[in-house]
Amino acid sequence: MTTFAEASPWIVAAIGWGATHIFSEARERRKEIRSLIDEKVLERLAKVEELAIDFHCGDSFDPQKAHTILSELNRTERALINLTAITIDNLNRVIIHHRRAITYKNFDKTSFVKQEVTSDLIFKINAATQDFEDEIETQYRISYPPKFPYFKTPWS
Amino acid sequence: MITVRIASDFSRHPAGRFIADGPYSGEAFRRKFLEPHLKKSEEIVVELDGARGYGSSFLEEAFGGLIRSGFDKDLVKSKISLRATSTSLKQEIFEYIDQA
Repeated sequence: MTTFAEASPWIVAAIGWGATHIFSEARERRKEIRSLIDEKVLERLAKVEELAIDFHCGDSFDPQKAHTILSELNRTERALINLTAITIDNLNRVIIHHRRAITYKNFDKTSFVKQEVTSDLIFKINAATQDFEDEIETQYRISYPPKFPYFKTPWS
Repeated sequence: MITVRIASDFSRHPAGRFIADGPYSGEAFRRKFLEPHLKKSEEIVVELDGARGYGSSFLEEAFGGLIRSGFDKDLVKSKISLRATSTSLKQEIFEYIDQA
């Protein structure tokens, strides 16, 4: 019969292997989420900002560009919803602020006026985009801290 | 209870604030799908999923516009319920109703 003393090195080895596996998985998951945020969200946000400035600074109202902006805003939010690693409800404030900065004023045929790149509207779009990016980073750091154990713990 | 699916009953590309901005504007949606039912005090479920995105001017005119048209805020909030995967859309719409 195997005594506890004989089995204990194996138990310690198993626990060690398990712990290493869990923390390694967490680190890999963190990298994977980082890459998804960069590709699916932050790159798209930069694109939306560029499209929005191009639209608002255009010589005349362009319905095709307006449709593209709405589509890209929709896709950005859907990408965040699908990215279950971040709680989407924590981002609602910046999502609304961002959508409103781009599509509340000067977004319709009857109200459109060509904007200068130095106009308040363009500054608001820049600011809303940066606030959105910052909040995504904050939520990412909360869910996946950059230090050991690389995931959110009940006591962190 | 009436269910209005914006994507299939109205347009997959709702856009614009006023009817002068286009046939699928917030004003057109409000006049065609919300006001007639609210006048009869009917409950309306608005399904937002399926459309290719919503502009804030559309949302404000469609829902906030109800208050400017003379409907009581409490009536609007009690009679209209929103269904959407996006919780930000629901929050934004209720903000427009409150702020109108």
